[in-house]
Amino acid sequence: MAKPKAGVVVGASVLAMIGVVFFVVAAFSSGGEVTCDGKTMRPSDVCLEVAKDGRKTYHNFAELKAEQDARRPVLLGALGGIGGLFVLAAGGFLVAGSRENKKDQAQIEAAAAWMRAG
Amino acid sequence: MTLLVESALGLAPDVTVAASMRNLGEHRESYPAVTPKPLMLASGMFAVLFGVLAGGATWGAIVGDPAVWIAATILWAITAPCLLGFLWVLLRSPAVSRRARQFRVHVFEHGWVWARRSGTEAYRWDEVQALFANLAVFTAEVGSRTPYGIRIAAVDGRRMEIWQVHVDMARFGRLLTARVAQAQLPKAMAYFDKGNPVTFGDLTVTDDGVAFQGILTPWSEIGGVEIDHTDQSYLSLVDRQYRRRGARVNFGLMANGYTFVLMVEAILTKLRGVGQ
Repeated sequence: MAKPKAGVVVGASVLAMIGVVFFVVAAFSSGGEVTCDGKTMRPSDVCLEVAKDGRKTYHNFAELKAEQDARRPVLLGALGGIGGLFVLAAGGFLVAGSRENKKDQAQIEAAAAWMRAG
Repeated sequence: MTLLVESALGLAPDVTVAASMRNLGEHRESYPAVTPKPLMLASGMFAVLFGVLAGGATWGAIVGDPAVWIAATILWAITAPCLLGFLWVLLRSPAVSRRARQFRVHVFEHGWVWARRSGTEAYRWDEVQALFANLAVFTAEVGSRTPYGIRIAAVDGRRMEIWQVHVDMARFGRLLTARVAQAQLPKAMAYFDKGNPVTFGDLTVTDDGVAFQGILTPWSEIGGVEIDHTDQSYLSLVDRQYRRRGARVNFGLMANGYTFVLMVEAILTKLRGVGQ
């Protein structure tokens, strides 16, 4: 396969880097710890949730773990999916760039015939 | 109207040496390097846009929900390359860099010399083996469709790409394509006159007409060539009533498209002369 042009490689690298950022964020979000207000909870802790109308609700560790475990795959799927799309786009960009360069090369060689003869 | 064409005086020694090594003849004019404003505007706009969003998300994560840190991280990761790109372009542009202000394209009688960051290189019009031209519609006084990006492969294997971000392509692009096509036409015609088909991308000029992927449009049906510009530029064969005939190909991906246009015109003129 022909080597793609430098611009295509740079563009694909930027796309791939953005994809990798999504993967890294997904990896950091995949930790199994249960959090309350962004802080890690221990099984003996209780989390106090204060609603906008001032209503207070207490959640224990098990309740929050069940709730957050259910939400995690959705978040991971979304981040991983978006990251995957960026990486796929980078790959597609590279393949298309290689094909275009191959076609260019064929045209350059075809022109050599009449350039030499003239 | 103001033209940024400089006099022959004060050519740098490396330019003079490069030009004389390839027998380029007399110096005609020079085109200074330009500040790539569209590139700076695009990268700067994205940097500001994503930067504001990233700042907002960071603020939201500090004072509100820590879960917003995920969004903030992603937005900062997008902002950083945009900002770096903007700074990279700005610092290397003639607006800031004293060195970049010395870069020029010098046009000579038989070719051109490009003095730039990677060195000084000379090319002759008749040494261009393949020229790919991306066209744009310029609204300036220079007229309609003009090359803004040109890729070149020389007979000695050298490659060159010159874009609107380097010099004023509305003027240099037009000159370069015209001179190269004029230099290539006699070679293409000489090869054709010996009975050989001449291929330009997906189009092949033959004794019987122009072939596109095995389908031949005979000379009797061809009145000329038309280049239309939508999102990209396309070349089509047209009959004498300017109705499209046969293929429509992407002009930017076609090697030596301008030579093809001149060649078709030359053959049609010859055939009309014979017919009269």
